[in-house]
Amino acid sequence: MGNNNENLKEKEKEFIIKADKRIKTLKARAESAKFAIKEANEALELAIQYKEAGLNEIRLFDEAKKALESADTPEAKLAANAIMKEAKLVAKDRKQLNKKAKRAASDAKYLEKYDAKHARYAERDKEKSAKKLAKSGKDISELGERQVYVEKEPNIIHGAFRAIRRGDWGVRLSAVFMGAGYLFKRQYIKALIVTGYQVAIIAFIIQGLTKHVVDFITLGTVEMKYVFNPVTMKNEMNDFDNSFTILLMSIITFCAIALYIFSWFMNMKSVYGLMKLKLGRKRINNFKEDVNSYINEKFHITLLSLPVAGVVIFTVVPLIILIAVAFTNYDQTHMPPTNLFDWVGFKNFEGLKNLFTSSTAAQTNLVGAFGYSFRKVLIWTLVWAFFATFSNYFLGIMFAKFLLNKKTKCPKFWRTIFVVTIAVPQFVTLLIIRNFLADQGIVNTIMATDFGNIGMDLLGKFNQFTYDIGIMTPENTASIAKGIHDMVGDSDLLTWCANGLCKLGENSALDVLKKCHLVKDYMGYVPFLSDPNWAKVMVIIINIWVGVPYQMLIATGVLLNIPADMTESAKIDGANSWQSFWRITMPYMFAVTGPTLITDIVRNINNFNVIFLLTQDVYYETDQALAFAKAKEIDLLVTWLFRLTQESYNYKMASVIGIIVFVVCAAFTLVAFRALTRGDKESEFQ
Amino acid sequence: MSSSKMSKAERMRIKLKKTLSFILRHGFLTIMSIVWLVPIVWIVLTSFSTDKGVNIRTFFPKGYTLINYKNLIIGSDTVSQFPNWFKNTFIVAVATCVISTIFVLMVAYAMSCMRFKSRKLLMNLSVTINLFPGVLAMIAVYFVLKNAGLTNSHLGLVLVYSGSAGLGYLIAKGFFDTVPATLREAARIDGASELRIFFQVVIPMSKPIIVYTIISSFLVPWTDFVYAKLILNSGLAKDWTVAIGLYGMLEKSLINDYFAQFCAGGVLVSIPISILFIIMQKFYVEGITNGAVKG
Repeated sequence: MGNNNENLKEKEKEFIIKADKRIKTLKARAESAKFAIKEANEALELAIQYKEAGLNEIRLFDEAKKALESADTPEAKLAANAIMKEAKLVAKDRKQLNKKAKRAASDAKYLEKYDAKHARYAERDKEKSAKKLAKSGKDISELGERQVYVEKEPNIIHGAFRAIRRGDWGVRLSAVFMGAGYLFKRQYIKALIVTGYQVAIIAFIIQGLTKHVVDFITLGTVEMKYVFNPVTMKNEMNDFDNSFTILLMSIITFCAIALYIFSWFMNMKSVYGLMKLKLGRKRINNFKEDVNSYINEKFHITLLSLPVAGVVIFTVVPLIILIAVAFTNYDQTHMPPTNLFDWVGFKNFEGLKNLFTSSTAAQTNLVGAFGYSFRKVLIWTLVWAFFATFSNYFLGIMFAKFLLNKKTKCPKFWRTIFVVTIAVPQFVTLLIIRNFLADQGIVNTIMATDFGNIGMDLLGKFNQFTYDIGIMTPENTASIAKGIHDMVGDSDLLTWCANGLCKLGENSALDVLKKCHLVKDYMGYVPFLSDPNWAKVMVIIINIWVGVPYQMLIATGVLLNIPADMTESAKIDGANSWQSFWRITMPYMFAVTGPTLITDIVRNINNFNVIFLLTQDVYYETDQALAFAKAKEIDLLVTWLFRLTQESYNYKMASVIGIIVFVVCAAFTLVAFRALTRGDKESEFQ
Repeated sequence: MSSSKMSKAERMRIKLKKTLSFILRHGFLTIMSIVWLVPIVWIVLTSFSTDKGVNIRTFFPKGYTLINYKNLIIGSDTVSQFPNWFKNTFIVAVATCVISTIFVLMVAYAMSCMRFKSRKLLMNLSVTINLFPGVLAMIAVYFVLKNAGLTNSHLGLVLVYSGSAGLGYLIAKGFFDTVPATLREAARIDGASELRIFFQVVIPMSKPIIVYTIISSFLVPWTDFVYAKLILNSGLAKDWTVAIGLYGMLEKSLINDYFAQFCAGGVLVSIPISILFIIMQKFYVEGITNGAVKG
């Protein structure tokens, strides 16, 4: 018994020494604390509670042991077990309290240290702001009350370096191990996830660097060939380099590096933000709450991640690759995997220097040919875009107004007819029209038929029709003719008219066009889509057919929404419909559809379908210089680009053209938008 | 402004003027309608024509028959495999419309209803990316797909159509902008997370624009020809979409045998597209006008 008492006293003593030590340290800290006073005191409180709880536990355990040893009756044993259970519970509580106390103590220490540090930084920031304000003549008191650790938000790069300077060790370690900052703030799952991400992306980058980027400058040196392998005594393919794979994977690796750098900066910001949360005595989320934030304040990240990834993979990366190809010599003679291609710098762009090569010079010099073609095709592209857009725009408005006019009956019926043409897919209608207007097509057959024949044909059909439905019989027709003859008699005027009609009847529409010098004399048909000049006009006209119904719908929508009071007040003031249209309706239309107009012009610069489907296979290029560069006079930059890749595999020039298209569109959009917004301000002024 | 004191002659003159204007006006409309409908009528007529090739002699076919439709639907040969094409295009269209709609709605909601730091930057970037000609990106995408082994597969085509769908968020965003912010604020006060607001408040209110997005993305694979031709280049007719197949029928060597079938195919494809298009327009108008009313 005495032994146990002594044991107990020893245990108590040991425990008290430790606990007191702890309390002493904490008390000292609490007294010298300047910033984290509350936390230091709390830690002290907890340590004291711990001491009590610990002593309590030791005594309870001792009691329980004594009770168990001296328990002889079952009830006594039960009672002893009950005490033991209670003791175990107390032990559990005590352990938790220990954890809490330790955490509070370390937090208090942490907060004290870093609050002090950040107070110094805040002072420095204040001085800097005061200096800056003094330069611009203001006073620091205008900044208002600022807390210790809230400084002006630096941009992301500056912020990352500030995080390293001012952060705690967790933050600083995160510069190397991205998950460290979370680990130190007890966000374990997040630390794990972030570390996993970092490992994966670095592994990918290293693999990319060693396998592909090493060859990036040379774009491959080992050409594909068969090599005799003495081991198997056979000709085998060597381990060749594929220039394009090198290019592609290198660019993807570069993108991965960019992504890593971006994530590094974001991570530093996030980790430092976490530290600032702690200094701000705010609650640090556990994992569940963190996930929750991604469906709340950070929901936009959840929403945008997949679509943005899609756009990057399917648009941005391919575009970067293609821009890179513009600086190589990837064409028909340099096609991987059989051949390699190399970097050639700006050599492909030399065509741009030769924009004003003459036609004859361009027929022999390929670079000159490209320069010549750039100029011609670019000019036509811009002309086409301008005419196509504005013709559709204004005609659409005209039609819309026409149908909205009260004098037009059943506007819905007419509108539906026009809209039917939109519903049929463009490629079907364009191909149909192409065959319609082909050199040997149906329209040309009609054009070549003499008017007289057409007239007789129609007359014959009319006769047949009336006969079929029973209005007239041949006898009736004959008697009518005789009656007219009897009425008119043989006058010279009639003979003269008849002769004129006969002459007219011997001509056809084709002859008329020839007389107007629109068609060359030796042609047996109207070259709607095969002659350059005819094709250009026809393409614009057909585009009107394709696009006006759609523009009409949009214009109808906008016109219906014009505030009626404007037009009414104009009417009251005595404006006629023409004036009210130009002074009120059109400015309103322009204001509403202005941006759409600009995007429509850009869309028409890239309008592949109309030109390609209408002129592929039917258009014959006569300009030798253009043909040398594989361009057609009717081509837009995009159709030329397309054919360069499909028919001559000249990817390098296709990329160059693509870049030019982008530059043109970007320049145009910038200029147009600036003009538009400037114009808006003026109208608001009025 | 006619007073009862006007003479009968004047009244007759006014009536004549009105009748003349009526005739001119509707005559003009009739002529325009004829001009607009002529190609469409020609397609329909030629699809019933007995002549297999391009009819160059007369506008109206010599004889009428249904054999072109029959050949198209039932009699498949090496060139014409319309049922296969229809099936392929349908699958691609369904997959495309699902992915595209999800992407578009997500981006439109994020851009319209949430405010975050990189919002303006992303909007400007999307406008910039749209300035690149689609054909250019398409060629590069073909290479990316080739390296990933996805050319000649419908999966590749679906990815191409829907991968960048997020860039087309403008119309849906415009619609979401008209959803009153007070509604969302009230839901947030009631404790709903943004996710719940998205699914249970905004989406149910946006049925017109959702239908519009679904239909317009569904229609893309049916009418697109360039992308499909570029990616599905195996040469096997049975993998093609409707667009490629019909275009192939008009090659110089085949046109004289298959033009009528082409027209039949065009008609068959146009009917569901037209119906969907009309429905889409109705929902679009409904969405826009409802939005205006909500203010």
